[in-house]
Amino acid sequence: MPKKHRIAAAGALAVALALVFCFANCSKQPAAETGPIKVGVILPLTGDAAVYGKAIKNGIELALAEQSGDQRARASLIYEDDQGQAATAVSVARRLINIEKVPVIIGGAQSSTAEAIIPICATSRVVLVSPTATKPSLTRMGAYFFRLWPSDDYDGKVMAETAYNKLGLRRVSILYINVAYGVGITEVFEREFQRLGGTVLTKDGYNQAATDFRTFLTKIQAVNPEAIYLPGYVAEVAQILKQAKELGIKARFLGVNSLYDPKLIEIAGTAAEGAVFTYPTFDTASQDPAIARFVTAYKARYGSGPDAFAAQGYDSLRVLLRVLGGGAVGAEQIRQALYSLGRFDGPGGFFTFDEHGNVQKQLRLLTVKGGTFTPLN
Amino acid sequence: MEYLLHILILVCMFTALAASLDLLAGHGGFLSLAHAAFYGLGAYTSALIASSQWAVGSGQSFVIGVVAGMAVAAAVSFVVSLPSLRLHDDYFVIATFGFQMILFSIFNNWMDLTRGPLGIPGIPQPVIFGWKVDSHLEFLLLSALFASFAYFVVYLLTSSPFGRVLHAIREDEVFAQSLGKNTLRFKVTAFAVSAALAAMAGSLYAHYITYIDPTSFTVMESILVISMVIIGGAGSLWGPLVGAVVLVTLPEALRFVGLPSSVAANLRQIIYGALLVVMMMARPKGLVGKYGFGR
Amino acid sequence: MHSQLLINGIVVGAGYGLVALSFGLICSTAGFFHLAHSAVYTAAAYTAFVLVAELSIPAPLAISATILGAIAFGAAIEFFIYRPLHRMGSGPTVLLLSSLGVLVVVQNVVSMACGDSTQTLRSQAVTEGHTVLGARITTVQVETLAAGVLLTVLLSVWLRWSGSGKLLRAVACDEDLSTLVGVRTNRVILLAFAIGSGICALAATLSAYDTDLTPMMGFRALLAGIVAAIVGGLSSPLGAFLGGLFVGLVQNYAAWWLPGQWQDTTVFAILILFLLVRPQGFFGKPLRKAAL
Repeated sequence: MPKKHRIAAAGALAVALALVFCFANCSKQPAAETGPIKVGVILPLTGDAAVYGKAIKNGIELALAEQSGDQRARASLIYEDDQGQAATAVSVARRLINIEKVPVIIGGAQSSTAEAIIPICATSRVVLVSPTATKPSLTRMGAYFFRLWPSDDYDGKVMAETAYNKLGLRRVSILYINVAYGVGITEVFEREFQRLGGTVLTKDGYNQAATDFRTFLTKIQAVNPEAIYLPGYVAEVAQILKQAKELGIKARFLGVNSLYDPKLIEIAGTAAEGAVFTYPTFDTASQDPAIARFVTAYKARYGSGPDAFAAQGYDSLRVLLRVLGGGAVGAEQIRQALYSLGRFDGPGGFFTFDEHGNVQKQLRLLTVKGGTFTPLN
Repeated sequence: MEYLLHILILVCMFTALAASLDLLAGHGGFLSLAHAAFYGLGAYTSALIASSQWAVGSGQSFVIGVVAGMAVAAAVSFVVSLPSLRLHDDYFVIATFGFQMILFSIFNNWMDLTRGPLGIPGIPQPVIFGWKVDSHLEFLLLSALFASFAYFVVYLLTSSPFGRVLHAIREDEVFAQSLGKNTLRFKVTAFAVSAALAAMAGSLYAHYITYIDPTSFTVMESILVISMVIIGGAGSLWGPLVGAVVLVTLPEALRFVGLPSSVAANLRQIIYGALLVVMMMARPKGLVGKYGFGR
Repeated sequence: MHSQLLINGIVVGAGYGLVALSFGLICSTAGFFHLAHSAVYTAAAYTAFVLVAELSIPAPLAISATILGAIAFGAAIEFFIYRPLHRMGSGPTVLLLSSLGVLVVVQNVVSMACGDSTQTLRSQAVTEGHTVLGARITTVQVETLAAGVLLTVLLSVWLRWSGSGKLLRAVACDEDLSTLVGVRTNRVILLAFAIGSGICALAATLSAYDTDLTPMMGFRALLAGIVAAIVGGLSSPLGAFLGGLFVGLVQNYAAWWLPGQWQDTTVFAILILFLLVRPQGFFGKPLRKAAL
């Protein structure tokens, strides 16, 4: 290697390392006792899952903006992008924990990223509050983990029982998204539905960000089920509903609670009519003043109605602000305060945490009628 | 401090990855987009061995995992390289891209083996002949050892007669053949060594993060490693190291710059994309390299 | 059921075919894999969305404007990025990597400007498709198929008989030799980028009317398009379009016979198979051996 290059190489190395070390040291001063408490936020802000991460972030920012001045000053938020990837999530979690020295993180929005950072939070003794991770086993992985979204166990079971007992369905096909969420909830639904005596006729997975579902639907049409269960996210499910209507499929559609989103009706239009979903208490049409206030404030700030992810983001910061307002400072105090939270009311529904950090929240049922979400009778 | 150690550990892992790819891409002139798949093969093999009874019983599950991962990757590399190496330039790139996508979908869809999108959690920390690697510092030491090993292997190969034939193939394959060299054998060997070293880095990754799922082994990861090789300088001794340092630390350094939070994530990606283009224009041979992917 | 399956495959395939057609034109003329083609695709779809849904410009006018915009965008990428690189003597691999950089930038600009959630420019209600031979097909799907067939014919005729079309084929065949005999290769390549980007914009707009918009739409469309172009033959419009239909059919028959999640895998398996057995595609001319 010519000498010039060697110098260039050494220079590049030195500069890069110096940058990181410098930045790391610059922000290393310990937080003053009275200063704001740093809250790390790790969400998928780019990549396939960015749309959900950004909705959660909107909810979080709204919750912060609504606080009075001195309340707001109690928390300072640091956002990180995990790109929906486990490895990136680990990097940013390490940074938040070791450099920013946060006592609490809102993050692990997907089960996969949550799975990667729960062990780190547990060994570093940092509280991790996931707004949306649903994999059942997560809450058995560490004592510092809390989640605000009911686990797949619960959602899948509620829908299986509703389908069998309430709607009288016996023959169902499943079309699920091939990510941890879809796979997990499909397992539960299939098990529960078969235990009750129902039959699962076909079961197909599609990849995230797919847009063409016609052959999956044709395949389902061929076995003529009474209903089609769709564990997935809004982007794909709205397309499925639209294409099903275009193909003339008359079967009933069953969904999961992540589908509660105005986008679903915007994209699928009349094709969403009659579909049945589970959903947390969050309901934009609710008379509950807390929810009505959230919906109005969200619309005023962002110009469109909130979805379930925004409500989860909103609730996760509010619940933290509640315990921080109660005087909790270190991770240990925050964790104890969350365990002994009692009942918390938010637009995402009232809830408490059980001894494993699982949210205890009632799921209800809703259907699309006349272009709006209405409770199922 | 753990954060800095974490960054250094990542630098070591990616140095091993970039160095192993450089053997094939920089020295052989074959830019493979399937490197993340071999990285993943190592990670999955290790994770599965670490959770199997007999390997845990022997107490050497890490060592067995690393060796087995390398063997599996080398074996699979033949399936990939024999067909791909018949093609040239961007056709080779596209073929390896196809293999990358196929191997990824096997990680993602073979539920019974890999647990698909659910991933494999709870991979234990490595124990090597009684040395329990449980602190970050020890892990850094181990990673540095692995990276040095990859570097050493690549150095040894490329400064030997083997390397000279590889360089000849890169410059002019027909000429190398006319000298009576069985070029296919050299190319396939380079591919296998490269794949095995990538798998070694993968084993390390699995035991470090303790949880693996397919999202860590996508084609974007392959592109990242290629970018390291090219930005650092293909076919040079220090290129892969420089590339790994720059591309691991750059995004981290950007986190400390106060970008407005609403656009920060997208802006970081934009900077990364723009940098790739600017590098190609300003220093097509990389920061310290001598070989450009010319015509 | 099987007529529906066939139609699903053909309709999706026609969309792939349009992308393959435009991609193949650029790739064979310029001699490298222009991955930023998917950036043109995404940008065009979002331009149409802004014009139609946000500014309420009538659809025919908006689509024409979109196509013109895409032509300018595609040509600009060639002029400002690829041409300087080409002049410096960069090979196809470097051009491929820089096109990837362009793609990342554009995709993120779109995601910043228009958000990541699905956007729609459809204004009519979702209705059941028309019944043809016992299968359902929507109006947009018929339009896509028609556009595909029409453009394949037009492009083939143009390449075969027009003066500029012949120049394009000459450059595709041997750039250096064309330069030697006085062809202004730079202009010809620019022309290929312009036409290819225009066709790509049409494909993007049609797909936006069918399955709506996300910032990642271009990349997925191009993946299938590349496979289709390789299967059919990069240098032949007819080949590329038929390649699209073939990939669409295989993908849909695979979803029918195999568990759904293996659908994309089969597409890449086809890619490998063709690269192995017939790298020049069904309709392409044999590849040159390594240049001496």
